[in-house]
Amino acid sequence: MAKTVWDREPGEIRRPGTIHIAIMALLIGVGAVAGTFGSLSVPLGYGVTGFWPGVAVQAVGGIWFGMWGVIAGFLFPFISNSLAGAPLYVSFAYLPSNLIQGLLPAWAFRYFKADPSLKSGRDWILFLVFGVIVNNILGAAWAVTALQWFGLITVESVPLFFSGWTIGNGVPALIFGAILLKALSPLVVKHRSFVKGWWA
Amino acid sequence: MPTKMRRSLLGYLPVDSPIFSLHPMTRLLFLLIVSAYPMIVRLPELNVAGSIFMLALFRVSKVDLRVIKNYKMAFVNLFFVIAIAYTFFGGYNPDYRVLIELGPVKVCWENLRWAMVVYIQLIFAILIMIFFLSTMRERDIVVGLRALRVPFVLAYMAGLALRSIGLSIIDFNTIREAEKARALDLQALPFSEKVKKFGMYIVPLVALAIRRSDEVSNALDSRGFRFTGLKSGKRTDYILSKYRMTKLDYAVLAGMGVFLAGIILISIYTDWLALESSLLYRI
Repeated sequence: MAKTVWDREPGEIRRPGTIHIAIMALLIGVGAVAGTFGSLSVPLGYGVTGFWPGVAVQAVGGIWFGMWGVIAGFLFPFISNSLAGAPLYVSFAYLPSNLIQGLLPAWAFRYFKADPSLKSGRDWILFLVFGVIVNNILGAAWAVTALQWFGLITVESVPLFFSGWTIGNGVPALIFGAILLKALSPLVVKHRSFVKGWWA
Repeated sequence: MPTKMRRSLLGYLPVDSPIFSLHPMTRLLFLLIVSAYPMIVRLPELNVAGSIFMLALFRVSKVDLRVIKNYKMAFVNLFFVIAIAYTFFGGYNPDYRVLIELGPVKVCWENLRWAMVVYIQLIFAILIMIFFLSTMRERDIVVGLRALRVPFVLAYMAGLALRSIGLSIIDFNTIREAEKARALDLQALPFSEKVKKFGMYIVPLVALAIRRSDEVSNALDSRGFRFTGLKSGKRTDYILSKYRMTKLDYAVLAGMGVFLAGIILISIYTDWLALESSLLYRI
């Protein structure tokens, strides 16, 4: 089988280091800025937006930086939602959604050994399925369940918020996620912050 | 002579604001504890009282009330979303009182009432968040976390993350200036193009963040940092040594805690805070 970017070199030792702390913190910053602009641009209410570029940072962060990107991906929405005027407990309710949106593509790319540079059709399909469609559907399903559980939306309005979340996240995840992966993956996989496993 | 101001996460606050007499940990716990009030209590009268209390707190803390105006669109938008979600998608029960019939849609009092309850509840919760962001600085959050004995690596990461938001905004403005220098007229773009353009900024922002991560990591390594703290062992936390908990802090914390415990107990053992006790439910 051909060597992939996820395979370790013979004798290669990988440990979490300060670079991972730094990249996680900086991703939170970038995600917070992108997420806030998204939350304010086409708002649907409760931090749900019709266009949220922050999701691209979640998916791509998980793929490139493993758990560090996943953690950054579920922390920055706290900041972006707060700055956009969402109450604290609504942000807490979204935590599992934001976790799954970064975790699923991170797992899929490692498990199926897909290339983050999206070189083949298989890589594209994996990105589309796990980084655009399934992760956002699961995220939306949890988010609307939580909103409904809190009594903030009615059962009848669930489809409205579900489709708002799925489309509002799916489209930017596809556009910006693909652009980020194609443009920056060749550089990132050579960078010391790239995570082949889950933590290093 | 102009008043001296301090930069907060959302704006500026006079240095003589009474809020600064509270320890940052107290202010951090204020967000966590007081945010729970509207989560537990649905009674609109109490949430209106909470919102009035928050506005009074804005005034006492000398927060420029114009900061709330920045959230005008968020409040209006939230109102429409809730109104649409509850009136048009609120469901129908034969017991409901129909106010207006718009074709197949019946706008019922029960749905409208529920929309009002949720909206009032969210207004209180949002005011708490705006107050927190208006009165806290990056430094205050880090000090608050350290005072709460949060592990060093988490407190450090929180500080770096908050700092990186500022850095990302600087990068963002640099990119926009570069675009303007290349004759891109953002004002002339249609709204959809503006949204697309804002999203596209992610690419250079992420590229710059990756480059900056090297600098930050090298700086951390050269100063002897590791996950558990400094390699040189225990030493005084300089930033934390600048703050002291006072009697006022303990009083505020006790007050918030007692109030929280009170509403939890009242909600469990009585129906005083039940929605049915509200004036809205007697109409």
